[in-house]
Amino acid sequence: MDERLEKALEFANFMVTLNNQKRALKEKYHTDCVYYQNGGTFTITKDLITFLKTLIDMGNTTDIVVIDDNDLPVRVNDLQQFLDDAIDQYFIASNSYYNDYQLLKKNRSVEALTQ
Amino acid sequence: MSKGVLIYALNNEQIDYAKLALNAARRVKKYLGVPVALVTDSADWLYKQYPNYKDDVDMVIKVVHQAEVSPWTSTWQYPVGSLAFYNGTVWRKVNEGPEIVDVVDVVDVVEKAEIEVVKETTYSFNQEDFDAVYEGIDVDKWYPNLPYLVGQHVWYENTLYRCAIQYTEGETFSKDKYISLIDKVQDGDIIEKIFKGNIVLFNRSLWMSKFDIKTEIITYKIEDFEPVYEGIDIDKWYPNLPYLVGQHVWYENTLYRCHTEYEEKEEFSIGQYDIILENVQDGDIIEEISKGDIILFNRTLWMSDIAGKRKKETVTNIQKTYKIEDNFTRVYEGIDIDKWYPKLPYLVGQHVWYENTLYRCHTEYEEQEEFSSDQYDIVLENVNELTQLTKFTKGDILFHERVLWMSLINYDIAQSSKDKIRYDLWEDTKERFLVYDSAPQYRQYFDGAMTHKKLRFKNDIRVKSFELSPFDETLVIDCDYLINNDILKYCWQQPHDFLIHKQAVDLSGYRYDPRLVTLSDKSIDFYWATVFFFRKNKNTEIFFNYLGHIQENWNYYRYIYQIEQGLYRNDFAFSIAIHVMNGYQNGTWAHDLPGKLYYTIDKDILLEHFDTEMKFLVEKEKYRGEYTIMKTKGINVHVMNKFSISRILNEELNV
Amino acid sequence: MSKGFLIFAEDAKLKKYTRSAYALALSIKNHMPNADISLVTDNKIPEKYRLVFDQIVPVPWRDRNKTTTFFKTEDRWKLYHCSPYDETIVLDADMLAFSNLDIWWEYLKNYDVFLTSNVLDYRGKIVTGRYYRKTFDSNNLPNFYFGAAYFKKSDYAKEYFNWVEDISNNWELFYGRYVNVNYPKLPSMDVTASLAAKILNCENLVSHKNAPVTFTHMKPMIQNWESPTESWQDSIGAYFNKNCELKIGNYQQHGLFHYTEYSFLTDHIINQLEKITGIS
Repeated sequence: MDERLEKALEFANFMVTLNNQKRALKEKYHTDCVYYQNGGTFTITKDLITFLKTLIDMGNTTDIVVIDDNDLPVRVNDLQQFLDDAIDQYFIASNSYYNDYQLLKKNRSVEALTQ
Repeated sequence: MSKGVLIYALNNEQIDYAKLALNAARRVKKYLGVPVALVTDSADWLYKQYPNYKDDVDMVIKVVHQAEVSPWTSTWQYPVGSLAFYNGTVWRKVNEGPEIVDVVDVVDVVEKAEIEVVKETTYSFNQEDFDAVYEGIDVDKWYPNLPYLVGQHVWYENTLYRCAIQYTEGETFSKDKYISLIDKVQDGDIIEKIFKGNIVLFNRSLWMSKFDIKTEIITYKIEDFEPVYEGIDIDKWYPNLPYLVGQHVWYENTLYRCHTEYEEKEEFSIGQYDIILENVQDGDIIEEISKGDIILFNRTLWMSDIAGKRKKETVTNIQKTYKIEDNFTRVYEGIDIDKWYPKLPYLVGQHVWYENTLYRCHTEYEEQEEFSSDQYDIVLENVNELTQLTKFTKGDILFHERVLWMSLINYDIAQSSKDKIRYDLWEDTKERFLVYDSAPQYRQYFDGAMTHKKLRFKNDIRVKSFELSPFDETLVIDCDYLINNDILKYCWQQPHDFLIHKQAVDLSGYRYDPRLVTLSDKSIDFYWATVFFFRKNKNTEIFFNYLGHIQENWNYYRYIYQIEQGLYRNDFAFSIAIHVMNGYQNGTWAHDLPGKLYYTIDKDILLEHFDTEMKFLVEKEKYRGEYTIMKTKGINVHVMNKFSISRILNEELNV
Repeated sequence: MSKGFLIFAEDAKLKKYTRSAYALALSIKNHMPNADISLVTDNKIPEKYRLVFDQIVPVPWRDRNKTTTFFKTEDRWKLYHCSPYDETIVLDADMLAFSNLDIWWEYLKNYDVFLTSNVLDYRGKIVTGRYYRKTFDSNNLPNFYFGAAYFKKSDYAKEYFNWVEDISNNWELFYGRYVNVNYPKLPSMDVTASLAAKILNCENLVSHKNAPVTFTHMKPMIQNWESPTESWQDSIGAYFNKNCELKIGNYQQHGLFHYTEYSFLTDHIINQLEKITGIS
């Protein structure tokens, strides 16, 4: 086979693998960003964090009803604790994502990508 | 509420599901930390191949073709080592001993507390309940020794015949001379139960029932009867007893009143009595009651206003039986003890038992109404009457049949009931079994894109999860669902009763199958039965019962929901059942499981699985037989290629 | 304030839309026996129809010399003026009601004009297909449906319907200027109502995406089928039982059902509705 073609195919292979891995990391990150509380499912987003912080700043800290991802009302007993837990989880998920992503960026071969 | 995981492992010819299930169980223990119950039809294989299975599995539920172990019964004598089925699990006998603490000599049967009469209403043919059918023909009931003509219609043993040859009948029905026309024709003169559409012969014509008709059974208790001659207490006559003036006595279906005080001998002294009433039935033994009968029951007279039969199963209390010789020893031998009664003479030295105390009389006297304790010396206290006890311990002194006994055993009626197994003799193996035969189904199992085998596909038993699960809150997983995190722990912390995945993520990223979104183009949403959680309650019980109905009537449901495949699949059945539970619309009866359902299909290959990391060869898009490599970490994955899981496990075990 | 349902119906040669309106009224009465319903029509109707309608309102200001469109779009702006109610819900005639819609009044009282913006498929899911909305997408029109609309007699609503009147009476001009990509061959009330809202810049004031006011829209191309047919009735079964409940395929129908195809409304359905309401 023409060497140029061979290299192109090799690169294509690498790109497919790289994209698959990126997708897998993203899926994991999204899964890690879901926080479960009192029967409710909350995806930790900037919006959620900001909203919780605003509620707390306004003096609402106990027995607050928050609407979850499935539009179900969930009573949160301690909103500060909820926010702290959500932020903790956010940091764990995003740090892990970051670290794994950095490793991915460094690798230049299919084998290295999946080590 | 008990919680745990249920894993199914039903083997086929080539895949060792037991091995896969043990691996899945191990991961459950590691990440979720809850008990695991395994449902398998290859328990013997499991025990033999994996003798350390108890490290990973807390209970094995066997699926068998027929019952291998009989239910436990107290009437059977089991040797040590026997197996019996009791209270949902299999028990093994580990110690010698009788099933109940058994006494032959004394049987204390508590008298029946009530009398019940059962009346069966009879149905009389009512033309309004029927439509005439086959009009124009007259039907004769068959009788022996009569002539029959050609063309004559005859009814015999619920079948309508037409006579083909003229003849004179003998003793038995000459079936060969008839053409059978209609079967299941009931005799309208003695209708007990008829369903709508049944045909009945009445008055030489045929009729079709418009409704379901059945005779009723009505139960009457003695309290439903009218008491008569109120205010008098009646004693049954017995020989060798004193009788007093004015005492009412029942003897041989006659009520008498004693007019002279006397001591009875062996025979009834009719001269001492006036007849009050004749034809008074004994309520304890009467079998059939007619309207207007007067019955003696519980020392009172009752008049029946219905006719009926005595109900066979009347309430009896538990029989308490004791084996005197084996379990007791005589104490204080040489003394005979009488129970105390009022208005009797007592002699010096006489031993009397009264209110759990043994006394010896020291002064001869005539007793009055009350116990004259000053006439006695206390001999022994805490002497209970044996037949009144439900519980006693070894060493207790008991009064029975005029003598004292010391118990050699601990006895508790709760333990010794004919309905309860003796826990001191039997050990629970924690094994359950279910008699079940999977429907014969086969499907293709791929091992990568280029190899496949057609193997037995047994998945229909999953509809029995409610019945099988020993837990109140159960997470059910496939044995090829590999757990790599603890996200499913949340199932037991949340309030919803049924959780399942509706959406799933194919790790290939490019494959799309619309039949994993809806069951068919026009049909309902698809739910994944790979992993689901349920809490046992009425709602989920209804759901699983309905699932069973779907499975049993799969062909019907398949067409109703336009499912092209003939193969029964749990995913389809669950989807249908959830749709119905939602009221035939999209709804929230089933909630989402935490996390997402990731999967690879059996054309992908699992290469490695170490700790929470998995490496796959994922089928390449548009390049059959070529793969792209992919790694995942910390996510649970449904790995459909069971051959590849098996290979990895073999490598781990160096097989 | 009086409130009621208003249905506009004009019979065509082979399609008696007054019959459809009658069935719709029966179905409303089945769930809301005290609902007020009026019919706007110039057709002669059977006496029994009058049992369900409070009023039969003739179409005002009709120009007999003018050619009319099939769906009588040129007359629909008049509904605002001829409605006998202070608050009116306008419904298309080819609909049936399968729930109590009283909750709509509670929600709609906050509006002067309301237009449906999200419709559902028979599975109860919000329609995302754009097969019939190319004109809207191409011309950046808000995604409104006049099939179920509301107005309250007010200055604001009057101004809005003045614009609807102008556009209806000069549709070629307005469409030519504002709806010139995927230009509709005939005037459409949906397009006209959406255009009026766009011109008045009141899109957010006349609708809301989370509103309970919606209906099942049985157009074959937007049911999320892989292979739709020209008529939805050729693709899926409809089952109407003696309790006047409707199932399309495996899905029980609730709320408002816009069947869109005249042939769906059989005599059997009308008979059942008459029986259950006791009106015949």
